[in-house]
Amino acid sequence: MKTTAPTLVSFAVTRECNLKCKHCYSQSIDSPHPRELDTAEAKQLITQIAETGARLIILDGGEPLMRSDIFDLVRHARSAGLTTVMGSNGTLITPEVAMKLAEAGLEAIAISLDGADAETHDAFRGMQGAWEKTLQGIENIRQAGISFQIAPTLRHGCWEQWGAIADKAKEWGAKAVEVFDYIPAGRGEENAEFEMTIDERRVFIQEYITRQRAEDAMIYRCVGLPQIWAEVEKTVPEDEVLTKFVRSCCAAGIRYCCVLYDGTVYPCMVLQKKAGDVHEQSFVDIWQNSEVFQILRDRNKLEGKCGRCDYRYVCGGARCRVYAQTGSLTAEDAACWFNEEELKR
Amino acid sequence: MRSMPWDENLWRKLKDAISPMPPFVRQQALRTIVEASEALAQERGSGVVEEEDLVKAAKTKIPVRSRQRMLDSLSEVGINVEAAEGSE
Repeated sequence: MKTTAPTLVSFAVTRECNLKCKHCYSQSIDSPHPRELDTAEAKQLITQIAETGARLIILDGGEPLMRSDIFDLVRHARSAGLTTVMGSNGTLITPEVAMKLAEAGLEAIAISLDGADAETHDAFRGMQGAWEKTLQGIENIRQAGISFQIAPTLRHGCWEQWGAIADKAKEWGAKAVEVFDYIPAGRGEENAEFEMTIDERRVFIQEYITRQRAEDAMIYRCVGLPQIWAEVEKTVPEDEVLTKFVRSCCAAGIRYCCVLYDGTVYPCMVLQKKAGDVHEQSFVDIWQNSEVFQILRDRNKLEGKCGRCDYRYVCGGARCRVYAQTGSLTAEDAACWFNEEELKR
Repeated sequence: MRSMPWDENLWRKLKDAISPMPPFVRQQALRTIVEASEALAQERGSGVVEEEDLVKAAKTKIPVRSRQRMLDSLSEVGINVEAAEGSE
């Protein structure tokens, strides 16, 4: 099978972070990793990412704004021809930082917001006062004219707040809401009690579809819950699917991959099976030849229910959850609720 | 959007292929490739659009700027973009 270009690549530029979130996939702490890519190495990686034909790079972390050369990296990504966006907790975005990001050419930013109120957000993010700082950061980004989206993590105990978060995002002028299902990867493994139940996921999906159907402009996307697309196709008229819904996962190793601060390449930020190391191989080589990626790209290798499912090309199961639970890249997604009849299109 | 019959499995694959694109891009991409595929099916005297029409349309009628992206998307959903005739 011919290797296609990734649509997007995320590059966690640093492990360093000023927060200590309970779900942090990158195990971020208050210091950089000893093997962290320096400025020259980071620029070389960005150039190689562009050479694969990738269209979009996400600079995240850790908290990317902890890196003093971040504006230089944004400029370099833009000059390499990549649409350049950032994932941030928002707390360090002062008016000056927002202006410097705009001047460097940042095209959009995703800001994590994990509650509809300060208490919920701060408890999950591990810092009292984070909520206020994040809201101020959002306002500063808005003032600087940079597009932004809000990114909440769904979790057991407070997932219902996502609707209120989406309402706030809309009021603030966000272009999109990208919802992440809680995946027990990285530090998230230690807090598996936050995983939603299957019934909670099913209710969420119905709310998600209802919200998107009611919208003209706001775009909702969801990461970690690929069954959503099968539900969309089963329940939404074709015209509406074509005009309102965007399929956003699971693209791990197929259209997307992640490079960690220490050079490790994963299929996805929450599917932490090593595919290579940019200290040892070029990113282009890893993208094209990694055995891990080859397995994920062949949907005929899927096993059990996922292998029998007519939606395997557009869903394929949450490979991240499957890997976290079984260590297999190809086993069936045990959290999928479809019965045999529902696997048919 | 369709003005003639399609192999339904192929139509589904095309919808799958364009589903990660933003809606405003997708509308234009879909219109272009549907019209071109149907024209190619008619040229070869067929009443049904088949995979070879779709791939040839992607290789010849999609603007160069977006062509590889469309071919990649078709490949991702299991369409053999190497098999059909057409110049990339």
